[in-house]
Amino acid sequence: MGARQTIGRKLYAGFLIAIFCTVAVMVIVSDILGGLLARDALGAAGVRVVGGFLAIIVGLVVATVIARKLTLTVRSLADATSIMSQGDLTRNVQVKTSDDELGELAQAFNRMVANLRQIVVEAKAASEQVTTAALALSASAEQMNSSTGEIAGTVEQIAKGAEHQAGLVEQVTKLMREMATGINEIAARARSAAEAATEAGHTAQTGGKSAREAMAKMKEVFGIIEASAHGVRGFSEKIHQIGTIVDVITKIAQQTHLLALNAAIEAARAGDAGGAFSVVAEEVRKLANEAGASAEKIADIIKEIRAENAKVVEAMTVATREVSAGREALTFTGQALEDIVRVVLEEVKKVQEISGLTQQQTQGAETLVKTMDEIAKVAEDNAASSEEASAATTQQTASMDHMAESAQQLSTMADKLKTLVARFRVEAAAGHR
Amino acid sequence: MLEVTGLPAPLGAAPPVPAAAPRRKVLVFRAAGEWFAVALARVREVCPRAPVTRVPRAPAQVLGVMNLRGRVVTLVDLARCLDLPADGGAGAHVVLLDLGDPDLAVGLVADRIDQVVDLYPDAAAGALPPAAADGGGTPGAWGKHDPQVVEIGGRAVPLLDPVQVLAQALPGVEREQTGDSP
Repeated sequence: MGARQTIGRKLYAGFLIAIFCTVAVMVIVSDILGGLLARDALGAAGVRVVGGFLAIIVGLVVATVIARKLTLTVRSLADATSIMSQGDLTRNVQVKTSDDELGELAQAFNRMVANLRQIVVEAKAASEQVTTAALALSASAEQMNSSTGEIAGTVEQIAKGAEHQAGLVEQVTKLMREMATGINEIAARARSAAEAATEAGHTAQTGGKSAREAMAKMKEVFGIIEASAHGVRGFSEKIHQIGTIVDVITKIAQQTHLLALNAAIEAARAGDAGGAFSVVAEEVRKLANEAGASAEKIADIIKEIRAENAKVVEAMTVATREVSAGREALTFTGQALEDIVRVVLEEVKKVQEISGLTQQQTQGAETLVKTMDEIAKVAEDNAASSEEASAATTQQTASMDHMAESAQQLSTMADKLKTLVARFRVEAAAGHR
Repeated sequence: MLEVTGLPAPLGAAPPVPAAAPRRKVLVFRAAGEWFAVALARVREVCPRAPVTRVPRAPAQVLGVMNLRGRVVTLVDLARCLDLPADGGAGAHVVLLDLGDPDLAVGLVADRIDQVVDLYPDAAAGALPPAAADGGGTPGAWGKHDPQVVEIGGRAVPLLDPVQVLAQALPGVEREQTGDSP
């Protein structure tokens, strides 16, 4: 209130001064000069006019000077304000008079500029900070993103590995199941093989018994054949003896025949006296012939008997051979059967062992299968957890992206702010337009 | 064996004596598969064949010599003498011939000496036709010997004259003309 009045008073004073000056001048000029110069009324009027002009001019000058003082301040204010409007906050207004409104205004302006500067500086600083922070945030967001990416990758690997593991475990489980089935089958077959082997052993034992019985029978037969052969040999000998005797008889018959012929020859030589003798000789010859014929018949019969005998002997030899071979075969068979029984018993034992072992193996396989199932479950859980982790990581990545976006936004805003406050200069430097 | 029956004669019965006709006795024997007959007068004896000793440089018809009770007997292969297929003297008997000389001991090797047969004139057949060699032997082989053939037991059996047959084989044999030489 006081300042306004000061300006007003100044203005009023100035105005008065101006008017005074004008009047003074006018008076001076008109009166003084007039007095000096004014010879006539026209000259006086002219002097009055000139004096008026001078007075106006002086008055204008004084007014201008006074006004200038005023307007200078206002001008500088206006300039400063204009400069400030350009954004330069480094200028202060020079205050000539600090007690009037303009001075107050200038002070106030300076204060305002200072305040603004302060604000802008702080704003700049803040925006810098914000920008830095935004950048840091962005960078750290990126880092986190990349870390999260790594984590996601690792988690994915884990998930894949877990899946792979689950698949392998499934395969192994399948194989284990198959193996268990196979072992079961082996055990069943081993059991049936043991049964079959036992049966075979029994059969072999029965066969062995039969073989022994057959052997005994064969021994009997052998004995019988031996006895027959013996008898046949005796028979043969007797036949041989008969043959010899028959040979003798035949020879005798032949010789008798010759003797009879010789007798006939001698009888013929004796002529008629030997007629009866030749008859006798003839009879003797006939007898010899008959004897010879009978002997031949006997010889034939003997031959037939011999042939038959030979057949019988051959048959018996063959039979003996066969029986011998049969005996050998039987012995062999008996031996073989005993071997079979022995081997079978061993095999039965072995098979029973195998059966027991396969039972164990079956149990072991079942345990394995159970363990495999547990492992599979664990692997599945693993895989599920990995999936969750992966999902969480994805979420985190999304959040990271979001954050990065926000950081980006923040950065953008900080930039904007920076741009905004960059319009204001706060450091004293060369003139800035 | 050749069933030769000159006359059927039951044992012990005397043979019927036919009308007084000259009868000849012949000895029937087999040599080299062929049956021959030879007059009994020409036969000294029959005997089994002993081991034969071969004589080097002897004619082919002579098989060798044999020891008969200390005497040396010359053995002749009849088949060779008659140009028949010879068997090399495989017979087991010997017909010792009487050729008129007591110092000459010749025998024919025979497979089998059958019997003494009485021959009657009506039993004698004609000469052996050149082509009818009984049981084998080349036709016409008899030609130069021209024997008589007699029927004995249904067979045609050549009747040999040993002197004639041997004359060619043993040049030293003297022909003895006797009454009953054929």
